[in-house]
Amino acid sequence: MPPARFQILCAVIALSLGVAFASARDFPDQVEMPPLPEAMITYCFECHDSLSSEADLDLEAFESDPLAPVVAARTLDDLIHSIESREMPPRKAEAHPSDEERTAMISWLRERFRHLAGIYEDDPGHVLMPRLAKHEYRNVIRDLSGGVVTSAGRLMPNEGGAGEGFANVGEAQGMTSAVFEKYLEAARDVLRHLRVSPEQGLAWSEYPREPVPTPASARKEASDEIIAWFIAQQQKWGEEHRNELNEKFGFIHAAYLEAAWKFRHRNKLGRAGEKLESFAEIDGMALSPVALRKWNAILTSENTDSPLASWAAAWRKLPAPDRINESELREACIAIEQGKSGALAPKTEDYAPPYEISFHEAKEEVLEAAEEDGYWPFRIDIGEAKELFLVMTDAGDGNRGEFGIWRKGRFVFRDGSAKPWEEAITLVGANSGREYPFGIDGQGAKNLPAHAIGVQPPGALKFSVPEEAIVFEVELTLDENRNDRASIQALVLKEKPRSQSYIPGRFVFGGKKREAGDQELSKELARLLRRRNVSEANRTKIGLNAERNVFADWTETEQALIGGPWPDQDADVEDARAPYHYTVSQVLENATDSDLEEWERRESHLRSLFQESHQQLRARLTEVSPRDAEAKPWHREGVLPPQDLIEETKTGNLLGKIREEEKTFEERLTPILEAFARRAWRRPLSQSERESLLTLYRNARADGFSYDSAAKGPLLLVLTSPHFLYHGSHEANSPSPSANEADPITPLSSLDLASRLSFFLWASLPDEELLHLAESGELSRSDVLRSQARRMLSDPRARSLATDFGGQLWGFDGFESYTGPDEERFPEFTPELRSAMLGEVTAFLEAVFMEDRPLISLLESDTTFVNRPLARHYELATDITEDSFVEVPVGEQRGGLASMGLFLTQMSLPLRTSPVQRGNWVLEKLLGRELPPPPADVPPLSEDDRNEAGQNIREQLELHREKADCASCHDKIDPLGIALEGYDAIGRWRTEYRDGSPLADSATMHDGAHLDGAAGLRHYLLTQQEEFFEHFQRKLLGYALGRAVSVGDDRLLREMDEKFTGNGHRLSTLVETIVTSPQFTQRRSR
Amino acid sequence: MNQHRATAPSLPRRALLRGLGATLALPWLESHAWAASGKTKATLATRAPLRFCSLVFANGVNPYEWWAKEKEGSMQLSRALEPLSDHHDDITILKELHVFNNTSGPHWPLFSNYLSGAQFQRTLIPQGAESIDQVMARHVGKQTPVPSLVLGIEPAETGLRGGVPSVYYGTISWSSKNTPIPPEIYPRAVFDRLFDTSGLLQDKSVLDAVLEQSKDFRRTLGRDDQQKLDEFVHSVRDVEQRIELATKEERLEGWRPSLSKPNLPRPGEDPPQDVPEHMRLMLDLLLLAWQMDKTRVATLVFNRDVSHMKFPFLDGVLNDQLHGISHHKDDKDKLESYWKINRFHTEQFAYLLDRMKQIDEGNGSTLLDNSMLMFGSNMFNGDSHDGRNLPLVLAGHGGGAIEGGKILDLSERPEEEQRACNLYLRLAHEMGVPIDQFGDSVAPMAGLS
Repeated sequence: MPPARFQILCAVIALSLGVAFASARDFPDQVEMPPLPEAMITYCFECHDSLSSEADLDLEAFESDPLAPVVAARTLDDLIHSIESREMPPRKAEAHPSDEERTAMISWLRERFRHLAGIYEDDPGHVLMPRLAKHEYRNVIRDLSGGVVTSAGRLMPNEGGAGEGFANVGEAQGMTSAVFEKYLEAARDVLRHLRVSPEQGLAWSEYPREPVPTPASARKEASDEIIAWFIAQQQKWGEEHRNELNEKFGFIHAAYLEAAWKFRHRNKLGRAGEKLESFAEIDGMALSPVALRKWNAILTSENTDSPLASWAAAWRKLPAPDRINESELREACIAIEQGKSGALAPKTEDYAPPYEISFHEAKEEVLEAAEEDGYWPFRIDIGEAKELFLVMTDAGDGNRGEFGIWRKGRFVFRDGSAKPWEEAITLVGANSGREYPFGIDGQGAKNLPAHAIGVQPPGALKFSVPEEAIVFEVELTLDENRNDRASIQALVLKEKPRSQSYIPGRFVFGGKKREAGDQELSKELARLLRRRNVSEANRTKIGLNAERNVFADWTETEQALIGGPWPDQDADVEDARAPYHYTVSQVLENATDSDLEEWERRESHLRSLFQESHQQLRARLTEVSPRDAEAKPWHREGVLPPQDLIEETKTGNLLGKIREEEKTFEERLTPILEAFARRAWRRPLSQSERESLLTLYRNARADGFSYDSAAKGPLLLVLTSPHFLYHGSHEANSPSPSANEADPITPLSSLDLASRLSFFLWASLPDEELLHLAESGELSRSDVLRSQARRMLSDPRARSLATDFGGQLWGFDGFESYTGPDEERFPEFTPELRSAMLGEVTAFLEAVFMEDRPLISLLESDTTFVNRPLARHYELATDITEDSFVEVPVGEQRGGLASMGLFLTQMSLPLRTSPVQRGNWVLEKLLGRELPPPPADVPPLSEDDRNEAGQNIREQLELHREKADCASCHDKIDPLGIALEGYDAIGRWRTEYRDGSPLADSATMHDGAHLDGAAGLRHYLLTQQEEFFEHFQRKLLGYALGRAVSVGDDRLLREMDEKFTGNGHRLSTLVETIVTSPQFTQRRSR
Repeated sequence: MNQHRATAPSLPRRALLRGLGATLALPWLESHAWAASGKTKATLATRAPLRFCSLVFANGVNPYEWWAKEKEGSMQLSRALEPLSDHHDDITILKELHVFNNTSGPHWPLFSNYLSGAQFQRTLIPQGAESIDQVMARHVGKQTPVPSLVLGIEPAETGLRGGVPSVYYGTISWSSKNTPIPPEIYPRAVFDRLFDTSGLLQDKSVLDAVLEQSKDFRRTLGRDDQQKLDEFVHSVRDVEQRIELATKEERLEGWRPSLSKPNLPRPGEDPPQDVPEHMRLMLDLLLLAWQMDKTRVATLVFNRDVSHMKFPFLDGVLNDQLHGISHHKDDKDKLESYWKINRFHTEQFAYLLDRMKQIDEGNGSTLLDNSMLMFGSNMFNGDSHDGRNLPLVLAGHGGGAIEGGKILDLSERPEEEQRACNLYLRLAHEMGVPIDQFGDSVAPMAGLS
């Protein structure tokens, strides 16, 4: 049954569903109530006249003063509800109305409500332009950077909610210079993640870089990126490729055996004259041409010493095409791979070398070293270095709460003596300069021996090298007190890393179990390989940096400009024959056309950094010192002025060249700036706006700023412009509002509509599709609007509804740093468990919202989402092997939001559960019932499970409710919380209290409903689902509109509820109804 | 927008004549012409400027352990106040001041109005009034690169709480009746705002362009949105001015700040996990800002109202949230935890005073001599939400305007004299702010000198 307050409106809604008003309407700012009926004065004024105004309710003022419509409606609504439910007048009141009087009061109040709802029906309301809230800023930058920069604006303050409790209410968002500076600083920080170059355009990076690179650091950065690109390519055709084959076909090498066989018999297969490379595919999936060539060489070789000789022999015995069909051929190749055709089972090193030139392959070996030896050794030839840096980062796999240890450091001195590091140096933070004593772990606890220091990645330590020290050795290991497995990268450097978080491809260290299988290496071989890796690491001084081989074909002069040349890094000949090992040139052979394009862009960018620009050359040659300090280092660096330029200078044509170069630069930048601004401002630019962006760039260029810096001027303007920071109100191309004096209601432009839609569903910018539809005006059609809304709901960005809308609605945003539970009582509440609890809630909400499941599952569900730590916490008998969240059946113990660990934990006290907080959460956040705040002088409840009299919480609460003042609210709150007593203060299932006394988890609600444990609560919530839905709908509407829901929205809420009920309680129905409503698609100008 | 309009110098007398008889304070103008605006540069330059800060901790005090008694020309202090015993010549203990006649009720009407004296309404859109620190910042803030600092330790909550915006629970500084200023909790952001001038030059031309765009934008907006944009434009202008100030740092002659470069390293990106360390760092930054004369007005909120902060690092303190402990119900353990937590905050304040006393500002004065600090909470007994008697300590000598070393008990005085807004008005006058009324003030508080 729909809630009472809606029934009264049936009569009014019938006429004007979804129809915009044609005639001008007036929405008074204030309304006045007629005199209250006599009965109300008699029965209500005792407590609610101006003098007493208990519970903030002053009915005298209500009757006599003009009221804001929202206040009037809310008061009427509260009055109807409390009189109808007989909560008011309270039992203790002296006089009580007769049933007739009660009915008369209610119908009077309803009449007033209906009257108001009529006046304001579908009023779009006062919606002031909101500015980007913290979470919106984060999402917007994520989308502008193509998903690369994911935590922008994280230093902005939480501003709290308004309206229906959300941060997106423009009316409540003040702007001060401190706030603007936050935006300015955030924008600067965003631009630190960006490099702008004529060759590459906008290149975003996950980690910030130095704001102003010197030529040397720019080159280093560009070469690091090239190294990273090479590593990614090796990975793509190495391990990733093999995994892909294995996943798709269930085999790996058989693919190559098959392809090589086809090449061998190409004549009989009618493919005479085709090159080997054209056979590099299996069932349409590309194989590596390089690997195929190597396999072909291995398989056709008669060399019996080859480790794969038995494979080759078996392969050569495969029948010719006329005696074998395709499927038989594949079976035969698989048989060889599996060692079933007389061939020996292969050994890992036979088809993949122990290490490739990147760390990625070496990691397997390092992992084994970690597993068997428990550490990884570094040995550094100190050379000229005055300081060394110990850098540890996580492996970028998103895991947090990992801890590593540097231990057993020692120095070897020139005279051959040695000293442990704890006697020789002081470790300090590489950035803070703060001292870190030996023996502390990554949490600052004194848990470790004196030769060790723990780090929670990312973290960089540094120390001054003792005099006369020539070698430094140290071991890297995991902190087993803190974690039993982790993946971290670490490195010892001779210079300060430019970012603690970014190390292009070094090695990964962790305790991940390697899957057992027939490819296990013999112990002896494993040791051999490890030795080789260790010696390799030692030889190259700073770990495995063999990837420098990328630049092997450069001249020494060129290498010198990027920090080389390096010691000879050629992989040994044996490795080069291994099929999945790729040298630099082989990487380029494997690369696809688009990969190659990227490579060329990167390389030409790097090479361009060796040359002075014409501009800089002019500055130098004419000795005009550029104003920009950052340009100065160019003069000191050994850069190579292009020979032709020197000639040009002599012939006096330099100026022309400079102009030409500047023109090209500007031509390349113009479309980039325009595209960026259009996306950020969510609309096309005007000519003057385009000009103002370019002007900033030109002026900065003329002042001698680098291309990167100069281009960032206009980008900073884009990100600090009111067009960016405010949304929902830009009509740059529409007539001024004074033209619409006659009618305060105007439809939103389709551009504004696009923004409103995307900020509702994604809390972010429109994407290209939406923007395109807005620019063409098509979005104003309601069918287009609806289909866009559906599309957007299934887009990954709609996760925002789970985290941003859900987080604010149910109050779990900020849980990632929650530290409520007592650490001694509940040591199980680790950061890992905490993030698992948060992960469950968000994964569950994402599934419900984005897969459009019935919203009733928020109250009752057979499944939930758990990862390994949470499954253990919930004692679920599933064998989840992944770290990611998997949907599992929950059984009898759980189901729905109220039984999720996060809420159970958050609504507990440090030492015990809090039935009051839990009950209040269910009442307020799920059912949307508001209770007056508790008085200050409430009787005490114990801190711990029992009070001094030995009463447990339930018993204490029972006494509590004997007081009439307390009972009026706690009769509604406590039973809901007591029903959840089957979960302890960190949400674990329990069947008895901590002291072994029997659990008491049943209670009776004020309305007589009996709740028996969590299952009873779920059942009760299902009976209250209308209330839950009403609350949800109201909040969703408030979030969509960025304002408090008002009396004029009653028709819309009714429409939402009807469609929602008729369509299986799905979010998409609510969203479609909202986005096509007059409230959403129109604005009111006064 | 602002209710405390500047008035002609003769006006304060009207307010002063309202019934305080012989204890009248001097009107602001006569005693402190030197401190008025930049026009009187010659006098301004000869002595150090005045600084103001209000440091607030939440959830009141243990009522049995917050008291001071006169004792043989000295003060006897309760255990929660005892860390101030080294400073008794520099402090004034205030008794029986209140913001307005607050009795017990829910939390939210009692915190965010601490520095404005506004009466808060139950509303879904934040509504308060300009706080005294922001009134001061509006008048003296233009003389320093940063008009004021609004600092905090405990992160704010989102959403609504108790049916009102959660900003009511964390914010005591308001720059207008609908603009609460959320406290800055990140030490790095404070540091950068004060001292990082990198890139500012280029920002200047960008900000010019932003202002240019705002002009065009404004024409397309409705009336209400135009007001929003005006707020934005003012903010951008303020930042521009700050950039200008920051880039021509040199002062003419006379008084110079005691430091010209930060003596602290730039703090790390994340705030310290450890509460005492976080507080200490914020206090150090505040000191540094004053030493370099980067700002003169500040507020610091140690914990937000209904605080979740825990103090497990204090000996003998329950591992419960401050708010839970404040509702002690006369429980022995809770009362003990309560005063120890109060004392912990007093220790932070004492640390600040210690440091300020050591900073020489010329003419034989220290930074503490040239400051006015308020330290206290928005309610007395947190158990009953009693806002009728603010636990409040005033420290520093206000450049000679505040004598110190006394207990000012107003309990026998008429209600009008017990209003905290009288104190705020007096402090504003000392700062050289020409207003004749603030909140529900009747006259600037007397009896401090």
